[in-house]
Amino acid sequence: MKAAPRSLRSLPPEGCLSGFARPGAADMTAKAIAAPAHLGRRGWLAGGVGAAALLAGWPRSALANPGTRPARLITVGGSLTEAVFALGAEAQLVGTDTTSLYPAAAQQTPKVGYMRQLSAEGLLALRPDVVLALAGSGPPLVLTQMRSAGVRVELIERRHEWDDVRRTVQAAGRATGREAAALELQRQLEQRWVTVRARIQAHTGARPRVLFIMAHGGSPLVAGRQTAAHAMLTLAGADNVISGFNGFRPMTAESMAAAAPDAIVTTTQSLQAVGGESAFWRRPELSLTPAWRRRHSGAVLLHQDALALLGFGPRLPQVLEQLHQGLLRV
Amino acid sequence: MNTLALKRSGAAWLSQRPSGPAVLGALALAMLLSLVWASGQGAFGLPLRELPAVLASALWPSAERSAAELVFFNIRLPRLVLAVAAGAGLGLAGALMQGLFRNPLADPGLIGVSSGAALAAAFAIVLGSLWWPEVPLALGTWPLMLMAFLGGAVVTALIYALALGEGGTRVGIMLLAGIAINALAGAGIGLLSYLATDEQLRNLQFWMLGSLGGARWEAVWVVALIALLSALLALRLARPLNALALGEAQATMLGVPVERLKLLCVLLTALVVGAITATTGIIGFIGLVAPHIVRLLAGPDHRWVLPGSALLGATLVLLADAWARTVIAPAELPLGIITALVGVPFFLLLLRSAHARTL
Amino acid sequence: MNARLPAAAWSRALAPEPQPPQPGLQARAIGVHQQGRTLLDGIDLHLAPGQVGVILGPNGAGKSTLLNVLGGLRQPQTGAVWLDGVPIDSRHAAALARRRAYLPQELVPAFDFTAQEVVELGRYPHRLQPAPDEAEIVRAALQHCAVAHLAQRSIRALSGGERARVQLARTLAQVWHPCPSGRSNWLLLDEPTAALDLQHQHATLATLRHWSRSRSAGVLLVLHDLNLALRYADCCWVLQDGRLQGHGAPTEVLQPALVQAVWQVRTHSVQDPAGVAQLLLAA
Repeated sequence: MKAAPRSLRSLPPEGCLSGFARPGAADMTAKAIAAPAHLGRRGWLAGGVGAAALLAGWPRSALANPGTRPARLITVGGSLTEAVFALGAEAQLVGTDTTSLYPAAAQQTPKVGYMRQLSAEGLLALRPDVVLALAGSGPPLVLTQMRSAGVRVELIERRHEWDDVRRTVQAAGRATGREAAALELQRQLEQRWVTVRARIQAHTGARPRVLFIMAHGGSPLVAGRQTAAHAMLTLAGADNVISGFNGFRPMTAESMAAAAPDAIVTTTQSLQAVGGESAFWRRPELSLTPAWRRRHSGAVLLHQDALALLGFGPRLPQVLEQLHQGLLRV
Repeated sequence: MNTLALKRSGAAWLSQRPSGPAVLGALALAMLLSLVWASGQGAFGLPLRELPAVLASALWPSAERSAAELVFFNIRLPRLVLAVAAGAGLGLAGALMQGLFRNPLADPGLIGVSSGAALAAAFAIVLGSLWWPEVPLALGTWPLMLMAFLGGAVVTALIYALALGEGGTRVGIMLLAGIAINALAGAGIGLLSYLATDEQLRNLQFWMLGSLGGARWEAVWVVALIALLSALLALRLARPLNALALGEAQATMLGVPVERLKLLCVLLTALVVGAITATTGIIGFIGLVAPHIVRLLAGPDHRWVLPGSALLGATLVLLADAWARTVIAPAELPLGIITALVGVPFFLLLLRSAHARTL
Repeated sequence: MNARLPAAAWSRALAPEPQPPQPGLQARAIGVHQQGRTLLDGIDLHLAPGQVGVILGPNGAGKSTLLNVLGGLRQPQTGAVWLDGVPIDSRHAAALARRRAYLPQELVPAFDFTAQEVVELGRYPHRLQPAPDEAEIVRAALQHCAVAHLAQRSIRALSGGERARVQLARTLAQVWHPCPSGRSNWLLLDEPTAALDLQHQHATLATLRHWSRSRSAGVLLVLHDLNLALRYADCCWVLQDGRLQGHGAPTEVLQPALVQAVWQVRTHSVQDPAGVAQLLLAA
C-alpha cells in the first residue's frame, strides 16, 4: 500500500518548467538601471513640495510609462503564482496569497492573506503595479480601491477546464511582460496535454468508478459536480460516483455504500490531516465500499498535492498523467 | 472573598469615585488620542508625521493624487470613521441593553442580537441574490441594513419577552436564550451555506468574524448618521433608565412611562446593531466591556454611562482595528477575533466577581 | 364583567350619581380577578389626609394587590379610585408621581448606586420643576431616616434593614415639599418594616406618623404586626381572602374575636401604662 503513492511521486516531472531560458535578461537589466533617473525627473515635476512630492514620485509615474522597469506583481491564486515562477519572473513577485504554496520559494514571499479577504492597505503597502487574481477574490471593495489607486487588477476566470491553464499562463505573461515566453510555455504544455488526453481517450477499458474525498479540516467532504475535483476525475477517464449534488458535502455511510466507488482520490494534505493511510481507511463511512475491501492492494487510494491536483495550473498535464496511470492499476 | 470584605473594599472605592463629567472628559480625550494615533497606523507605511502634508493636499488638490492621499482618504479615513461609529454604536447599544434588562451582563452579542441581525442579513444575501437579483445586496447597502435591523429587533423582542419578569431580568433565562439564539443563527447560516455559492459561503464565514475592511464612504456615512442620531436619542433615556434600575413598579410610580421606555430601548438597540452588523459583520464584547469599565470609573448613573460607553467603545474599536490591520501585514486579522480574545477573559472575570453577589 | 372598558368609565356608568370632590384617598367597590381567581372583592376605603391608615391581613389576603390598585399600578376590574376627588388615571402618571410616593417590598437595584443616588432618584418626578433646595432635600431625607452616614455607600452592599431605610428616605424625598396647589401628599408603603429591627420598626412608624401630622399627608401602609398598627395607626382595614372583614379605628377593629377569626390566633387585649391597647398572644 505504501509503495503506490511513492511510485506516483517518483515519476519524473516531464515537460519541464525548470529548464526554461529566461529571455530578455539583458534588456531587463538595462531598464532597471535607467529607471531611477527617469523617476527622479518625473517625480519632481509631478509632485508638489515636501512629502507629497516624495510620495508622488513613486510607482504611479512608472505606470504612466509602462515598460521602463519590470512590473511589481502580486498574485492571488496558487496556479497564477506557479505560472509566474514557470516563466522565471519570480523576482517581480512582491506578494502572494495563502494558497500559493508551490514552488517552495513561493512560501517565502510576503503573504497578503486569504484570496477572499484581502486588505487594500496591505496590498498597496507592497507598491504593486499589477494584481493578478483568480475570479472570486475579494472583497470586491478592495479590488475597486486598488483600481482607483492606479493598480491594474486582472481577474482570471476559472471554469475547471484546459482553457483555465491557457488563461493563467497568458495572464502571467502579460503581467510580467514575458508574452513570448508565455506562448512558448503554453505550446509545450499543449503538446503534453494533447499526448496525455490521447492516451486517456485511447484507453478502451471500463471507466473506473471513483470518489474524491477532501479532508483538510479533519472531517471529510466528498466532491459532487461543478467542482475542480469532478473535472479532474472526468478528464482522467473516470466516473465520479457522486452525481446528485454540486459542491462539497459531508460523507455519510449510506451514500457511500450506494455510491460504491472502486477507488478513492484524495489530496496529500487530506491524508496528513487524518493521520495517514491506515487512519484514513478506518473511517466507518468507507467500510461498505468496494474500494475498502481492496484497501490492502495499495492501488485504490490515489493522492496528489492539493494545489497540483485542483489548481488547474501549469502542472495540470503532468498531474493528469499521474492520475491516469494510477487509475489504470485499479 | 467574603461579603464583609467586599463591602468594605466597595465602600472605600466608592468614596473616591471621580465625578461623571470628569470621566467623560477623560474618555473623550482618550478617544481623540486613539483616533490620531490610529490614523498613522496601517500596512501602507503612512506614518503620523506625513499626515499634515496629506491633509493639506486635500485642500489644494494637485492634478494627480498621490498614492498616500488615495490610501488615506479612500481606505484609511472611511475605516477610521467606521471604527468610531461602530465602536460608539456598539458601546451605546450595550449600555442600553444593560439598562433595559437591568443587568450588567447584557451585551448585544452574548444575547444573540448581533447574530440575529447577521442571520437576517445572510438570509438576504444568499436568498436575495436568488430571488431578487436586481436588488443590490452588497454589504453595507440599505436593504441589507434594513434586514439586519429587523433581525436584531425580532431577537431583542424575543429575549425581552422571555427574560423580563417583574423582579427584573431572569438572567439565567436571558443568557440561555442568547445561547439558543446564537446556536440558531449558526444553524441558519449553516443551512444557507448549502444554498450559497462557494463565494458567498466564504464571504459569510469571514463576515461572521467581523471586519472593518468593507468601509466605503456610502456605507460609512449611513452608519455614522445612525450612530449619531441614536446617541442623541439615547441621552434622553438616561434618567428614565436610572429610575428603571429600581424596578419597573418603582419606575412607574415615579412617573416613568415604562412600556414606552422599553420599546424605545429595543428599537434603538436593534437599529444601531443592525446597521453596524450589516456593514462590519459580527463584532462582539464591545457592548459588554465598555459600559462595565465606565461604570467602574463613574458609577452607574446612565447620564455618564451612556455617553461614556459610546466614547470608550469607539476608543476600543479604533485601537483593536489598528492592531488588526498591522499585526500580520500585509494580511489582516478579522476584528471580531481580537475583540473576542480580549472580551472573553473579561467576561469570565466579570462572572467571577458577580458571583460574590447574587446574579 | 366587561374588562375591556376602562374600569373608571365602567364604574362611573354603574354609580348612582357623581361623587362631589372629597379630600382623601377613596376607593369604591374595588374588585380584582385574575385567571378565574378573585383577588379582591367589593373593597371600599377612605383615608383622610393627615391620617395614618394600615391594611392588615394574613398572607395571601390581597393586601399588596389592594395597595397596588390604590397606587394606580394595577387596574381593577370593577370599582374606581379617587385621589382628592380626581380619578386615578395612568395618563397622568407623571403629575401623580409628584404627589404620591410608593414604596414596594424589597427590590435590590441592579447597579451599584450609592444611597445618596438612590434618594436622588426619588426626586425624578420633579426634574422639570426642581425645587430650589434639591440637594438639601436629599440630605434631609437621609438624615430623617438615620442613614446619612451611609450616603456614599453602595446600596447593594448595605444590609437589608439599612437598604429599607434608604428606600424610605427616597420615598419621603419624592414628596418632601407640600404640593403647590394646596392638595395633600400621599405615601403608600408595602411592608416598610419587614426587614427592620425592633428599634427601627418603631422609629420608622413614629417618623411616618409625625410626617402625616406635620404635613397633613396621607400615609397608607401594609403591615403584619398588629401591635404596631394599634400603636401608630388612625384607621385600619382587615382583609381576608380578598374581602374586608373590618375597618375603623384599630382599637375597635382589632378585638380578639376578629383576630381569632381572621388569623386563627388566640390573643388577649391589654393596655400598656401609656394607655395604648396591645394584643398579647395567648397560649
